[in-house]
Amino acid sequence: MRCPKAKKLISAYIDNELNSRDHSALEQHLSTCRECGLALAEARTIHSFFSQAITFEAPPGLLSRVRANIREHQTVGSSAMPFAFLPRMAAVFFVTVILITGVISGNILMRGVMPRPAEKPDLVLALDMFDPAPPGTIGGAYLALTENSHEK
Amino acid sequence: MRQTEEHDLINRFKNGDDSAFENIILIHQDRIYNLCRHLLGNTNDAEDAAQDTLLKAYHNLKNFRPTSSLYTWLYRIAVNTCIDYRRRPFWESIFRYTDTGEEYTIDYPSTEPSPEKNYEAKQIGVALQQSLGRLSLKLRTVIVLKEMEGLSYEEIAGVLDLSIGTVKSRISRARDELKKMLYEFMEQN
Repeated sequence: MRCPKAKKLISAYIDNELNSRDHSALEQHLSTCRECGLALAEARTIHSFFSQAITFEAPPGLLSRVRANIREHQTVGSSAMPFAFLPRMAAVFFVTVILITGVISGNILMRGVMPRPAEKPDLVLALDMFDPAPPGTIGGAYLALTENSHEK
Repeated sequence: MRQTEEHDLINRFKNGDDSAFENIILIHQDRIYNLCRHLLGNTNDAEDAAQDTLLKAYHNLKNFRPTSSLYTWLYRIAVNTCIDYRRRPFWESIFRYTDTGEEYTIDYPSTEPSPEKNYEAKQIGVALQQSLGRLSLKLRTVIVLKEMEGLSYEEIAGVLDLSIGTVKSRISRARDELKKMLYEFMEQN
């Protein structure tokens, strides 16, 4: 057995989950390979840490809450579970309304505080105002000449 | 608990005796809660998930067939419930408060009241807890079922509907990742 395969089997080895063939092949490899021996020691250390892992006990009211839920379900006759998230949805909705109200009222208040931009005269854009060759320019002079020659 | 006693309780429940189900809760609630607590990483979600697990068990126990043990069946429901909780939209979790009224956070707790008196053991417990919280849910699930609940590879495969080979490789990967994280933790402290 080579080191990469041996390292893959170490985890199952410490859990006693290897078949007899892999088990004996790995033990043979471990007896000669120092590196894999260290990997086994590390895996055993991690495994031993779990004996110090925190274990949690169920909160005291769990049974009574489950009992109350079952009774509620029996009296209502339909599952209350799909609506369990409604109070939280209501809270989210409430906060969203507050935020929107804040943004709108902020905008209104800022209008009174911020100086208004100077008003510009209204410009009416129309085609009849557009003069492509105004008098006094080369274009205007050329246009005057051509119009005169046409009239003649 | 012996399997025959467990089957008696199930049969009593199937015959309409709800107090039998309460006995089942009392027997299994700590294991269910511990599993949910480690998978979800916070008290509130763990309580809700444990409660949902037991309610689902109540509604489905009549269909339970004693081909597997009751606790592996309950673990299966608990794991699926926890996976559902992890997939919940964020707004279902953000405005939640702990029992003491503190604002609730999704972070895995850095410290928990621990029964261990020994400081070093306590530190190891905290380091392990933090490292578990950083594992992906699928690796965390297999390692918690193996190391904390003491299930065999075959039982884990049954609970998670996976092949034994997949369970074996996930446990190995989980241990490798935990090793790296614990080294990091020790270097930082």
